[in-house]
Amino acid sequence: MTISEGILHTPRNNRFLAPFIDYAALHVGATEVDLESTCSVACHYRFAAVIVHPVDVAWCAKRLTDSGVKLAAVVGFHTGAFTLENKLFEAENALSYGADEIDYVIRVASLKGGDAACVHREMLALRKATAGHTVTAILETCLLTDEEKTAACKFAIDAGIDFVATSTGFSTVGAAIADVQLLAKIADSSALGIKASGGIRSANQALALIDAGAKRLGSSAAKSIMEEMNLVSRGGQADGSCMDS
Amino acid sequence: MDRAWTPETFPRAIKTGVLGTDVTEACVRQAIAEVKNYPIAAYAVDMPFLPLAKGLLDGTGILLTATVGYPLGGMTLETKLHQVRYALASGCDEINPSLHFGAIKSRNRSALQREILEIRRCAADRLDIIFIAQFHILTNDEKLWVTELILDTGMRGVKTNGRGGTCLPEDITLIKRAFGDDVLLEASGGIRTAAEAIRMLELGASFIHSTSGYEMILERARSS
Repeated sequence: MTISEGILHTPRNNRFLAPFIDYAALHVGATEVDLESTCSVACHYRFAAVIVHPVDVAWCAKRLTDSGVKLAAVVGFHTGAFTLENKLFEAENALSYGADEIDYVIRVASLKGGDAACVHREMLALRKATAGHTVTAILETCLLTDEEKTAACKFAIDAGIDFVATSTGFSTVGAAIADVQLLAKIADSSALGIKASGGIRSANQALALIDAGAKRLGSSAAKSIMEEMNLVSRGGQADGSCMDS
Repeated sequence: MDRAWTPETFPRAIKTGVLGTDVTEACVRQAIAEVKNYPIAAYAVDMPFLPLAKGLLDGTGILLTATVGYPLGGMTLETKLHQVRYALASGCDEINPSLHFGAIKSRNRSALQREILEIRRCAADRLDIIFIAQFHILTNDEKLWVTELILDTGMRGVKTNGRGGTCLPEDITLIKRAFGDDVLLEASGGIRTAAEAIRMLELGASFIHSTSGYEMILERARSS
């Protein structure tokens, strides 16, 4: 049985889904009350990570200490339209405040404007600056052609990037199954993982993206997805419990 | 009502720009070529295009604007200051810093004061500063609170919204009634036509910032 067949035959419940989830608290104006809620839910379900803006890293790093939940900071978010020097500064700054992982937005405009090498240089530099930490390059696939997605994915493999993510959740469209399939096909047999992110709102959508090849799922709706999953795996009975399904 | 805003005077109240994920160098060149012959107040581009735009706007009298912490305001103060220093080095005239919006929602006065004062110190009187307050996520009490806080630090410039959100005429009335000419108010967010812009100006906005600035100027010229 292959790994993907193994996933298909694993019981679909909260325990299965939780390790894929990066719970995002990236909405404009998030307060410490919102961050506490996000961290609390992430710890409860044992999600892979919480994703926050750099300004919220210090608070969340303290809150998540010894929780087993990783803390990811977004960089160059959400347009990616920043200088490389500023992205490097921001990444190192976020790590210094306690981030475990960096999710940065690539320079989409360079890819579209005939300077794809800029995107490669950026990946090499971010990889070097975040050595020892997981780094994800967010591609914003809804703005890219398949050729551009392919090029970015190949750059990421070459640069040793850990994940490419489909979307920021702030552009026109979020994670699409076809994009995850395309990226997973290119990344096959490499160490690069695919993260589906943006617009993931339901358990069925989450499972379909995993089946398409996603190794991580970035979502701000993870709590309701887990509640839905719990309800389904209990045969439609909502009982409020979480990890025991 | 809008007679004061002639095709000659109207552009002076308009700030525009080309910002975003997929904006290429060609987009910036074309957009500035279109608008540079009109006497608009300022033009904004993303950080990587500041040196290019500086050259393209040279001699036009149009101010070059850099965004800081844009658009979500979630960068640390250190990163925002890094951007301010780059704006200074690139020859910018004005910056639009996005404040820490979570600090506004939670009324964290000390964090916001520190952010505003540090940005001001870093700009060292060489940049005009218009702070983005993101009115569209704020209650009226929060809009008044953050505007007062900005004024208390000795700054004057408040921009209603950054990316996303709609500026309401009621927002302009609310702020101008409370603070009068103490505040330099820039109306931004969802303003798409010359008529909408003129309404905001007549209510007391000092400037309009809109990505549709060029189209507004053409519209105003056609309707005269």
